[in-house]
Amino acid sequence: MLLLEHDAKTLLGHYGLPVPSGIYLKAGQNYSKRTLPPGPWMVKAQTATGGRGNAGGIRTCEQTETLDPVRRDLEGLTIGNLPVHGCRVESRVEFEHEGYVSLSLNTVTGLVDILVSPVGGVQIESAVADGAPLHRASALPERAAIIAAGTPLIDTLEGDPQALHKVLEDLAAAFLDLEAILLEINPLFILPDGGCLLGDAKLVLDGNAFSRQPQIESLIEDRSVDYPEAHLKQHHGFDFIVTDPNGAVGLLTTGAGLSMMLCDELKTRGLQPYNFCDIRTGGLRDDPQRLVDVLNWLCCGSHTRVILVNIFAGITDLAVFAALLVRALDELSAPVLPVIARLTGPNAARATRILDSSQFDITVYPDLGPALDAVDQLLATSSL
Amino acid sequence: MNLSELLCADTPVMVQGATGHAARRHMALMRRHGTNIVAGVSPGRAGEAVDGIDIHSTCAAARAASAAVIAIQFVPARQVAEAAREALESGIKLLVTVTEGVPVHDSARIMRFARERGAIWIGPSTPGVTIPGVIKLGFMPDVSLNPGPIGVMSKSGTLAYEVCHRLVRAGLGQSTWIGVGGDPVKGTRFSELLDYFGADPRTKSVVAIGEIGGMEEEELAQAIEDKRFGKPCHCLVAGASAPAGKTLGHAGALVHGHHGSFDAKVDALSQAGVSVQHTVDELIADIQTSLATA
Repeated sequence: MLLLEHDAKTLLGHYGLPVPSGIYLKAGQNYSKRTLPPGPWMVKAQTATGGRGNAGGIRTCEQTETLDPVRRDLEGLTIGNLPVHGCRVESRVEFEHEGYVSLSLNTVTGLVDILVSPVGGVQIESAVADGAPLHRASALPERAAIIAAGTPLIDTLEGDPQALHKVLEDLAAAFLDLEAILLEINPLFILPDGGCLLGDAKLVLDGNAFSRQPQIESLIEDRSVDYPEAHLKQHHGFDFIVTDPNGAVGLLTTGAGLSMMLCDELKTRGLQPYNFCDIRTGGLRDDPQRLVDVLNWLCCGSHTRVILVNIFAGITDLAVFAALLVRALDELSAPVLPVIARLTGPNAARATRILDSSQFDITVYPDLGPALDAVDQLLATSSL
Repeated sequence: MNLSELLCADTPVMVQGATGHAARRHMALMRRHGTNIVAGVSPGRAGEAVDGIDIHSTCAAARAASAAVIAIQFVPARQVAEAAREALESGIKLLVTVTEGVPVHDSARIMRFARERGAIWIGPSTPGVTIPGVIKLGFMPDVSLNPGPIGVMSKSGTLAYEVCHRLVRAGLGQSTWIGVGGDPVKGTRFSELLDYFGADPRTKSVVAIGEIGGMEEEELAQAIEDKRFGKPCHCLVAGASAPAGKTLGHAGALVHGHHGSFDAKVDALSQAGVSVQHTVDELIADIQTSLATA
């Protein structure tokens, strides 16, 4: 999970890393001038995506009078399909140079890759392609090993060696402690006195490790608007992501890869899936609540007109699943949409009988192709 | 021992976490498929038995009693790393981890340790490995299994169920099916399986079931070119319609910019001569055509 810059900087500050003073203001949030860091400011749209600068998401601001208009401009933006829910207002830094430092977990070697360049900023990739130096090293994911391998690299930057060494040490500690997959500082500001400040911070964390990272769990808990998918997974134990708020086909599906492919195949047919879903039937445990939640979310979609259930069960008893689905539909608070279900796996015939004999508008297919045809037909008919 | 020496009907297998509910159920299904399960491991449960299989407290004890060379893990995510270390230290040559949600730094540790020990690690988050009719290490559904000429490797379990089910329905089947798992750090990657499928006389063509995120499909494309891999390769890449910056279920399925994107993968694979298809139906038809032509 990619953290917002503000959250990354706050976390990194706890590890002793030098961060420009800044505060996070939610969209529309009032503030007292006393809480602002010293101006002038950089006002930075907070979205968990790259390319904010190029998308106009970072602005300078000289006076408090212009702060709110600038914020309003940024809060109206959508960057990389993500709406801006807030801004970081940060003291502007007068720097001498910009550098680049990153630590990442190499998925092939299992080692930590360290990259350092004396050229930083948004044009780093093109600068390196044009011949700017990019120094590389690898190390075991251990603090001493990262420091030993990274010190000769960080020494290539122009700045106070002591300050640079401390940055490397603190980055190593944060990377390992937070179980990061990527920690990228771009730019690393080198100040006129040789000191350093983190200009921007990109921190990608491992969702599988959150259960042993209480500070991340509590961040997600507090910030459901900024991390909606992680918040939902933390609370409900499965994945549900609205991929197209205008989508017509609500998906109640299991399996990440199959659900992704199903979204692709719907799009290929010119249909609009509303969401991605990996409900994990193994986690239902004879309780319809998870199904009730998903069905409610789907029925609340402003344009959803049909629910497609796709379960390819390995060992899940589909008759048990079907009975739970009927109970869930029964408990639904929103109006029930027509359901087209594809069920393959143990006890599929009995499951089909249970769904067929229910009071709800459910059509069951043993194969995915005919189920998709039925969705197609239903949408074509209902749009006439 | 290499993978082809290990994937045999009589290779002795131990099950870690054997007294758990899911493990018991899958042990029975694996044995029904012919897998030679000889021991179970559950700390503090030595002396018990599950369906006639002796349970030991440690992998070392299980190894001493049974000479198992394969271990399959049914243990909770947070315990996988320690259990893997124990299995590998006991001399296990092939470790299969079906558990989902293993922390990535733990996976990196297991991967490095397995390499140090000269062992093969498959997973985590894999439905397993199988040669239909010979051995099943995991929980691929029987309805999707049939002996045949197609070598299957997949990141996603469920999408592979679907593809293999349709292969079976089309009268085809699998020479070997290996789930590598959808996590970013894993024991065995697509490109590392080319030598196995290339040398395997049962495999006439190879199907890679990939998805967005990471660089595994690009590495596969490079390896196909570097090794001048001679068997026909087909590929399906899930996630063409996924929004950038969102992790869709699998921890590895996250795209930033062009890196790991659908287009980057399709370009690399197509350039390496892999036949990339966009729907499951198209993939099955493509495989049938390719086999008929051969």
